[in-house]
Amino acid sequence: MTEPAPSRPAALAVEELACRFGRVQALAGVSLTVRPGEVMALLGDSGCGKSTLLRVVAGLEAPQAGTVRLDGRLVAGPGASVPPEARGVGLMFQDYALFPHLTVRENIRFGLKGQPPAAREAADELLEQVGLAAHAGAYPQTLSGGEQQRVALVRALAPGPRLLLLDEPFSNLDRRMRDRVREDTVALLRRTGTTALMVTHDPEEALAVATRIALMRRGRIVQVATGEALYRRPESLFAARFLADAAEIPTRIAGGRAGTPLGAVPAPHLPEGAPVRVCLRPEALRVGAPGDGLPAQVLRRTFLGAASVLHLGLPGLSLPLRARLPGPGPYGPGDAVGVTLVPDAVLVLPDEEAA
Amino acid sequence: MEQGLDGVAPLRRAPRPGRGLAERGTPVEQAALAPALPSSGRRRPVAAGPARRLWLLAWTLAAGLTALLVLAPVAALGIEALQGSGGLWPHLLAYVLPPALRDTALLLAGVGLVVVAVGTGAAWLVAAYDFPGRRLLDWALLLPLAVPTYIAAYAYLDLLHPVGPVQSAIRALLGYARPRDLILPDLRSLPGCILLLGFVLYPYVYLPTRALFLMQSATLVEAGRSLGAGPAAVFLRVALPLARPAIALGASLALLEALNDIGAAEFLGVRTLTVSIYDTWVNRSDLPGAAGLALVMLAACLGLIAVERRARRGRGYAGAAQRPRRMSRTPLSGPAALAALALGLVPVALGFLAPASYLAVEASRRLHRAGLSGAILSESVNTLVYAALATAVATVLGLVVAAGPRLLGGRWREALLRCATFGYAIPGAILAIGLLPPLAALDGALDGASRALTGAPLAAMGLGTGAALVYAYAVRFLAVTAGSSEAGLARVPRSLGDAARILGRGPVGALARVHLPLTWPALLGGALLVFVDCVKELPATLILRPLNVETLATHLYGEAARGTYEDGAVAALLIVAVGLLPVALLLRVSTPKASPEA
Repeated sequence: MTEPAPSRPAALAVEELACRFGRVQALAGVSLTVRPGEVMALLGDSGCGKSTLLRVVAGLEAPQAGTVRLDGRLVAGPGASVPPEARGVGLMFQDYALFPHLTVRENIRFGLKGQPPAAREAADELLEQVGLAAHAGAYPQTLSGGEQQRVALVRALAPGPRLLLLDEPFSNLDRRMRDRVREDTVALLRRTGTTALMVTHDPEEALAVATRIALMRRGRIVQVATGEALYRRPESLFAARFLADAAEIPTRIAGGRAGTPLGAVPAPHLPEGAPVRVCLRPEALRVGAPGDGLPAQVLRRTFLGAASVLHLGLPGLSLPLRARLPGPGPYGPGDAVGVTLVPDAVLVLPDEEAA
Repeated sequence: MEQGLDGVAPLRRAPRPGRGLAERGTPVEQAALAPALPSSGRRRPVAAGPARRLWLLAWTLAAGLTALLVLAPVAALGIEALQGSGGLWPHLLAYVLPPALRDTALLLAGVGLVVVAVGTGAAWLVAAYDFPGRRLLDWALLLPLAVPTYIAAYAYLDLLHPVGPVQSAIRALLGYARPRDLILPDLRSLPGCILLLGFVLYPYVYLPTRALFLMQSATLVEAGRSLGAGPAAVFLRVALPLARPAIALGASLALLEALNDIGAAEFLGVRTLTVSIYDTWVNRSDLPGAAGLALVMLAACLGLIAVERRARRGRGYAGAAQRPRRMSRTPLSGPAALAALALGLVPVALGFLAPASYLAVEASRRLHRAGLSGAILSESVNTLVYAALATAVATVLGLVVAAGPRLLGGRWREALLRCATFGYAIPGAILAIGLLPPLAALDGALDGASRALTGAPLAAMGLGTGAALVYAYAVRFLAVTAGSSEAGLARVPRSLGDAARILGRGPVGALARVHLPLTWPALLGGALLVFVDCVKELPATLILRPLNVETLATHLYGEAARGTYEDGAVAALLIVAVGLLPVALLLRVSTPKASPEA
């Protein structure tokens, strides 16, 4: 987590942003920095405030407190309220918001008013790049969902925004198509060197697209980190749960270690006696032949194609543990196996729910 | 039909191909979002500082002024009624109000029953069954909308007169020689009036209910069938409860129209509140008394609307069917098909074919005998000029008041919009009575000022020039244009406006480039409805027209009042012809498009 180079201001700097609608506090003191060229994902559940943050940055909502700076310029905050059309940001809407009365080409040129003719050529070029040049004269309603998505992306990129905001850009595509469109979109963002802030509720999507992820909860940012850091070193139980399912074993710290039926796990950073949960994701368990580690019994096996998941019953544990094996694996229901922990992959986190 | 489009347009939000779900999200998503985020309609759009303030100010002024214009007659009524009419008010209270209230209540109850039964039945017939002639029936059932109640009454009075064609035919059939040998029930009675109004006004229920039946997700009906309910049980237990909001809306509109009616009730000898108000003003010259009665009637109108709002609450479930697959119609054949067609044709024949063909015959006879009179021509011109002026005013004001809340946001702006569109709840006669005192005061003030400044008296401005009439029309029908503007703007997803802003347009640029191009069909439709309503309007026209100015409607009223029926046929036919225009439009607007999934 290096600081942005001092020579270039942050593409987006948000400080202590607060926004409320009636009794709902949508944003409760949000601070966030997006560096030039980076793709940042805002990850969180519905209603956590991530879309509101996006709209405040775009200028479609006015914050009650806090500041928004784009490339160092104050656009929202005390004494400043730059309207959306003068902010130089692009926004790709969740529903694409393509103008139904304009053709694809007219949609894409909508934001180029007052720009030199070269901009139009550049926009046509973009349309060509995403393979939609043949549809330039068509109306958006006649296009497929994936094509509409690309038109919306090109329209947002055409005016050359310094920051592109994407609101759940892939949520309206079916799963099969989503992966491909996602790769294409990332490639286009890289190619055009666009700085982007993307809202999503899907951790997998955030991991796949973003250079860094800001995890949000109830109007606050919980953690900002690279995808890998967020996945492997979540700072809270909430973050750990959001990124992946895990079996949780509640316990307390004793002697700098968290004791579990599978053995004690070192937790030097936590105070003595603190209530914690030991989170065991499938990759935290190694399954071997009986006698290799703790004895366990296979309760169920779920075959997923490239991997299979074993549900394991252990003496002293009420809930089953899950372990992942490549391919179909040698074990089936009823088999006895041996289980050992992979220390690096075990998470010990403060128990937020324990009194 | 003033509220027709207003009421129907929101029912028709058929999803656009390929984006229905995109616009709405899944129900689960909506449910998840609901507690955390306010509905998008409440969001405050943001404009630039000074420019925003300027727009806000301009809009607030325009909308405030409009609301003032609308509420002025109501306030005047209150003031006028408070002044009291000395000895007359106790008389009204004792002898006029009780029978008027009783007759009005009975009339409303009866008309309500008839319109709901006929309108819902007809809607289910064309939505659930397929038979030869169904497509024809589909739109023919709307035709009675073209016949104003006073014209229907006018036509039927002559048709069913003891020496008219119908009774003569019956006597000839049964072998009676003279009218007094066979006494048939007289149309000039409360039941007669109920039946007549019911068969002319049922399309108000038919139109929204049919749209709702057509939009109903087929899966709901199929679910009902799979759970063991027969077609009749599905209608009673699934379709009818789901259609309740549409039925309530339609019935309230029909009843407001029945309350507004002055011609039919008067011709048929039913002393409703409206007739009593008009009578108190015209024949007794008792303005405070008329104002008092008008306030009572206004309370009745507001009560009706409140009941409808209650019934409509929770209508969300009715329109929430995701990308509805249309209910498939049950094909009928043989005697069943014939019976269905015959059943469906009854309201068309009673509400439109009979009066319209009578008018056509009488008009052609008249034209053949006497040619087109100059009076009819000048009356047509008067009618068109007033209607066109009022339509222009109402359309512009309607767009302005409707655009405010949508583009600038804010809850109090919604309230102002409601105030500005309050006029549709005020029957024409009440509006006119309420306008008299302020207009007279205005005329007096202008005249006084003119005398003081130039020494010359000024001819009456408000009452003399027809400006009052345009004012009354615009106030009364502003709800239609505002409603259609609102419905049109509401169909433009908020994200489109946001997208225009993000792509560099200001608020006005967004309105011009995005909202208006997508809204103008709705605006045009609203304007057409208002125009036709102005042509048909009778009570306010009677009271507020300048001296010696006749429109088609007042000419007809005069003829009917004198008992010289056949001379009014040409005017009536012209009004009906104009009234046919929006029927086609309404049908198109209220037919949900099939989801074009291939």
